[in-house]
Amino acid sequence: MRTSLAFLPGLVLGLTLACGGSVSQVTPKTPVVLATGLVYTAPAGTGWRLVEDAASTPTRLLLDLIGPAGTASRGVGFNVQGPAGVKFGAFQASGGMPIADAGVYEMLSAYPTTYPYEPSMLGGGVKPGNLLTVGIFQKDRRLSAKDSGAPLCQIALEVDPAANLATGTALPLSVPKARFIPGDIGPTTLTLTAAEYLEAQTKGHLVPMTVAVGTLAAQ
Amino acid sequence: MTRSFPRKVSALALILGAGLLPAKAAATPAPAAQAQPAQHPLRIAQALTALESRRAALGLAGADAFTAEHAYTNARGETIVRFGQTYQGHRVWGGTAMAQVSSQGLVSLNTPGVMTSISLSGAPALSPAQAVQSALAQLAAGERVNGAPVAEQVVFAPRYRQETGALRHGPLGQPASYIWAYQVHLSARGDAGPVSRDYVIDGATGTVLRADDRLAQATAPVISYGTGLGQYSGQVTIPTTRMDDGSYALWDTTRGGPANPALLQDQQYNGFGAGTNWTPSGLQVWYEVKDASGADTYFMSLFQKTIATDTTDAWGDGKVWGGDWVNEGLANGQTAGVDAMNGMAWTWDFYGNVFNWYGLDNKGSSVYAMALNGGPKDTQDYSTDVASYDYYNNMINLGAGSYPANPQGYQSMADLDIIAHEMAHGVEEHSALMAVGAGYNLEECDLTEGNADFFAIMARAYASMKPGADPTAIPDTTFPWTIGAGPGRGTPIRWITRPSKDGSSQDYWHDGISHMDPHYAGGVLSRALMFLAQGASAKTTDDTYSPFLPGGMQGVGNDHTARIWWKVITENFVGHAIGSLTFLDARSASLGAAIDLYGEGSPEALGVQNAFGAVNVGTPVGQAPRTRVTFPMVHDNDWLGWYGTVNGLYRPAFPFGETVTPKVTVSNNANTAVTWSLGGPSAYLGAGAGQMDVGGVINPDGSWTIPGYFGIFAMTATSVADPSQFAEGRIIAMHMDCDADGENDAIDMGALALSWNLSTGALSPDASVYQEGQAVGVSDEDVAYFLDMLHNAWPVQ
Repeated sequence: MRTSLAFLPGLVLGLTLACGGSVSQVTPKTPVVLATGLVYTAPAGTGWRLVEDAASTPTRLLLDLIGPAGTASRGVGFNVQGPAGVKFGAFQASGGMPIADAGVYEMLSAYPTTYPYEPSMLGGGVKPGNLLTVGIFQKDRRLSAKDSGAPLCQIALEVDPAANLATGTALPLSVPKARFIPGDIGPTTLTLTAAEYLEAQTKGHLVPMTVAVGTLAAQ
Repeated sequence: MTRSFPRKVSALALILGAGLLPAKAAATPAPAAQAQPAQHPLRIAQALTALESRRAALGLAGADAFTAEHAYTNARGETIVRFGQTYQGHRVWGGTAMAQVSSQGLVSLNTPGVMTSISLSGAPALSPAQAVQSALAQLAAGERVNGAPVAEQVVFAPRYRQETGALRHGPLGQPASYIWAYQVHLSARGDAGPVSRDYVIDGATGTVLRADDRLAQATAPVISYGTGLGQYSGQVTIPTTRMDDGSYALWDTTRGGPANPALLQDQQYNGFGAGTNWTPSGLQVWYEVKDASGADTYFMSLFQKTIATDTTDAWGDGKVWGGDWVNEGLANGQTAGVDAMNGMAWTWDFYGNVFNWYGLDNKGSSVYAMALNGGPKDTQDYSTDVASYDYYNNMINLGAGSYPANPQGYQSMADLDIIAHEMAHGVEEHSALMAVGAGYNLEECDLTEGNADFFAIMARAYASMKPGADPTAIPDTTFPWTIGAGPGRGTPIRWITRPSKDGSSQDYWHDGISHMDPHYAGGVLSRALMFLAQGASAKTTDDTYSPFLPGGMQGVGNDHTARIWWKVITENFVGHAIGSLTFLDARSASLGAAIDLYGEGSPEALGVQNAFGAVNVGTPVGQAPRTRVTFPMVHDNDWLGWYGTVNGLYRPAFPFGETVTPKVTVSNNANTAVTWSLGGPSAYLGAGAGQMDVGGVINPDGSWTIPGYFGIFAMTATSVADPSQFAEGRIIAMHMDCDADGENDAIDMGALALSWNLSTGALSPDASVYQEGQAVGVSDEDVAYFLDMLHNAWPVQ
């Protein structure tokens, strides 16, 4: 992490005195302070939104996805367009994926029992152009839908030191695409009759949602 | 392999002579048992009543009946009654039932031997006297009948005629048809001794359907040495056995003791060889019995002469198998038997005399060969042009060879190097026990085949020893190091000096070599051992030249090389078929063995390093480590590694249509640049074959744009710094756009969730990563591969 550099006007004066020539007046520039972290202001509203998690640190901003209270869901997936100078972080607990489980959804199969290495639908990646894509879903329809009005998952943002961002730089953040699985997906058993299959087909779709994003700046 | 067929049944009657009389019963029977025989009439009646009550269930008609033939009461007071079956008052040949009657009068029946659906009328066309004449005509010259033979009219099922076997193996089933016949017993005497035979004569034609010897002889097999004329072995002396009927068989009782498990099963459960001096021991050569069209009859036969037609101990005609199926046991078919016995005996002695290893399992368990496998009905040549070793039956299969019917096919697989290759598998499976088989992408499988090729050459070298040579040492070879030149009609199946001459095998190691069939990759090991034994040339045009050892090397000889590698597989390698051994392990273990046997700094120890370095496994002495290109091992210990069905151990998954740069590691060089190319050395079968595809586009920046269809794609990364170093990897292209919105992203996982484990299949055709339609369904395998695609395509930096 680079530290802030302060321009030292005294050094220039010293150099010109050493040269022995005539001295011209030099107006010092305003020092450029490089950002080491991010500051985020949450959006207004109570719909789907990204809010800062209290566990954020000065250098690692954690954003939680929260949905509207009272809206049942079985999982969410969304893409975040990261601005230049910002990189998305990984979570060790998620095996290096750029998304963490906030503990609301039940991630493994209901029964009979789970088994070693059973995969859960928690994952993501950073596509070219700094587009984060993440998802967390309950795979087992026998498990109940959950109230979305709590942190459902978490992503991490950090300043990319190679970008040499100045503090105060406004960083546009957006969620160009987001979907959730609604509470009602039809039958909640795995063994379906023909009629139940049709109902599942009718109701089993990802629902588009708009995720409100606050303001992001480098600090 | 459980197909079995009894060779012609020999003597059955007991010889009563001095010393063979049963001992007098010494103890007084227990009171309970003493009383039982008096109750036999009652018990028999109870058993018969029970049997009669089953008449309808057994499908018997009014003409069928049973007569009690024997009753016996055991120590528990149970009476076992044996019944013979009759039809219209005439005995049904082979028809039988048994009943067990308890002391309380409870009856349990054993009726699989009852023959049903007999429907005969009238009488035999021949008279009894005519049947007797047919039987008398079978006596050999000098045999004179005792008394006046009598013909008994019987019901006979033609399936039991002599050449199809006295007892059919496998489920008994029911005969398809019956005829009137006569059974004629002849007692005679002749120059060869007493004769006691039952003949079954066809009641219409007088044809002899069976001739069963009623003399059970108590003699041991007689060791013999016959003259063989093999196709590959030429004129040879081969170990044989004189059987108790005077015929000879390709059975070597001088080698091996413990019974062969498959042959023992035939003896125990199917009665094969009962009443004869045959045992499931020693080295034996059998063949599949075919019908005239070459179709498998599912019987097999020991190569044994028919005493009535051939009393000699001479075998084979030395000629290519001419395809006279149904007569495989005659001279032309025996030729493969001669080659097989010769090869097995030499290989057995090779291990025994050189390494003090007894047989294949070091216990001397019997080994048998099945020669003339396959045939014209094997249109894919699955067994005809193939040889194999069967661990569980301790036997080797040798294809008959499809040539000349197939001009591109092989001749008989019974050449010594093929036999020794297969027997080497047997030895290795009882020592190192390395993994075997194709499709596992394991270097250990490659080592298995390389080991077998090497010891095939060593056994052949041993068999070429000159008279008077030390029998405990392996002479240096005077023939080319090739495998299968005999079956290949002069063109080898493999060249160990330069494996690539077969068009597929590799001369040197590369990362990913195990994607090839192990027979093609194993040449790296056998070539290294060849270098160690015979040396490498400094002449670039020689087959034994290696650019990794341009100055060549001196060999240390076959004997020392074999002892080094023998020590590796019997003392150093602990394979247990786990599959973790690599070519580098082979090098390290060989070096350790060479140091142990011949000393540090010895020509052998230095030779091991140079020989393996010459095939790009490690480096020769004095050379700096080479640039190495390797694909990372993925899925070593995760869901896909444990449960993945697309052999996910070495294959990362990527989504259709994306542009990615697969991970590869370049070590030992500051320049880590590689050039990418589609396909790789394992593409010898062509794109699409062997689960390997070639596709997509390599872009100018070195990235790869993935095709839009499922496949397992081969990619090769070649070091820019050292183009002799490359690696071949595999990448699985899979479907990610499960919600079919035209974009691959993590949101697609939601579509997987909606279809996860539904009994009816997926909700939409796009829902699975295999994109095989709704019927396939979505499982945890889809979830695991989806996550793998995310991880590989767009890792967090």
